[in-house]
This record gives sequence, structure tokens and C-alpha cells, in this order.
Amino acid sequence: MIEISTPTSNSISDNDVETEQLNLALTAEEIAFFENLKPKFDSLKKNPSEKTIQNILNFSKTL
Amino acid sequence: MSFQLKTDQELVHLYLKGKELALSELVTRHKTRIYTSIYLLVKDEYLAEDIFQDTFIKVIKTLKAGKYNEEGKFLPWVLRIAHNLVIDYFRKEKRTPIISNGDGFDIFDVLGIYDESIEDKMVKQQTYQDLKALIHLLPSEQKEVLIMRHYGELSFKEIADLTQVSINTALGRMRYALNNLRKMMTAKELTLKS
Repeated sequence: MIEISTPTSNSISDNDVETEQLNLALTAEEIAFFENLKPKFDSLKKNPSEKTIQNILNFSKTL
Repeated sequence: MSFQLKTDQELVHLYLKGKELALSELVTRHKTRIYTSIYLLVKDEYLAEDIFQDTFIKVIKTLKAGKYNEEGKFLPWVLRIAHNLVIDYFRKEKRTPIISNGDGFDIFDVLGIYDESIEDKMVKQQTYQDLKALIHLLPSEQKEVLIMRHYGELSFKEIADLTQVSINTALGRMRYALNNLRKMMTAKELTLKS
């Protein structure tokens, strides 16, 4: 069981506020680790093939 | 008409008025977030392509049937459909996501790095494989939150809604995911070089 310090603000849909929530939930060391990982996570980004995209667009035209 | 400057909502309206290019822009705008999220969950490129395609077929059918709820945001809605299709797939297969370090040949791993030295390529490729392997070693609920947050760019409220847990649980899973990644990197003495 972990204890998470979360603000009681009702403005929870805004990403900045939520990043702040996450920061409050993590230690400074954990935040630094996450920030260091972010660009590395980006190296895993991928895209679908052009053929798949074309299939989708072609399907749309059939309706 | 420049579709690139339009909001998702405007593009949906234009698409429903018959502008097929609006759909093309929506797919182009969000394809990386959606495809990466699917791929990292199913860990199979071909399956990810199929689920990506099925996701947009559902999106198109729902939009054309006039059933899209404009109160929600477009991307979280599409990611919810994709997430449900991933769950359906694992239910049908009666198995949980594979947790393994082993990976097949992936053409994307070797594309786009032609300007680098062989050593740089090898380091980058190893980094890529190490990080991918570590993410796949995470418990599925932690991996899910990490992927939806970083790649899907969903808010914790949206992740909580999508996975049917409280926001605190989603935040807790994120924290566990990060701490587990760090522990695994320490245990394996891994340094993820840039």
C-alpha cells in the first residue's frame, strides 16, 4: 500500500495540474528518473504502415 | 482549406460533411500515439497494424452513424476503442500479454539511422531493445498506465476512466511502474544511453 499525496482540487482534467499531482506523488529522485527516461521512451515511438492507413481511408470512402 | 490548423472537433465536423481529407488529417495527427500504444501493449507489429485498422474502422462507423459524443475528446475516445480491442484480443486468445525479453527481427529497428556510425547504431539499437524489454517486464496494469500516459498522452483522469480505477490508483500504478523500471535497471546494471 502506498500513500499518495494528492491535491483536493477539482481541476483534474488539465494535464499541467495532473503533472503536478504526479510530482506530488513522487519523490524528487523519482521525478528526476522519470524526466531522464522521457526522451528514451520517445525512441520507442512507431507508426503504422502506409498500407494500413490507406486501407482505413479507402474503407471510409466505401460508406 | 488547411486541415492542419483545425481542431479535432472541427475535423470531425468536416468529415461528417463529406470531407475525406479531414479523416486523413485525424489519422495522420494521432497515428503515432495510437499505434505505439497498441504496439507496446500487444508486442507484435502485425497484430498492432490489425488492431490499429480495426480501431479506425470502428471510429468511422461510429462517426458515420452519428453516435459520436462530442463531449469527449477525440484521442481519448479512439484510445479507449483501441484498448478495448486489445483486451478483446487477449480474451479471445485466452492469454495475458507476453512478458519476454525475446524479440523477433523488427525492420523499424534498423530504419532511420543511416547517418550514424556502426557503433552508434549498435548502442542505439541496444538501448532501444533494453528499454522495450524492461517495459514488457512490467506488470500489465503498470505498463498500461505508463503507455497511456506517455505515448497516448492521456490525463490520469482519462486513464482512470479507461481502466475503470480511481485516479489515485492510476497515479499509484504509474509510480510503481517507474520504481520497478528503476529497480530492474539497477538489478541488470543497465544504463540506458541516449
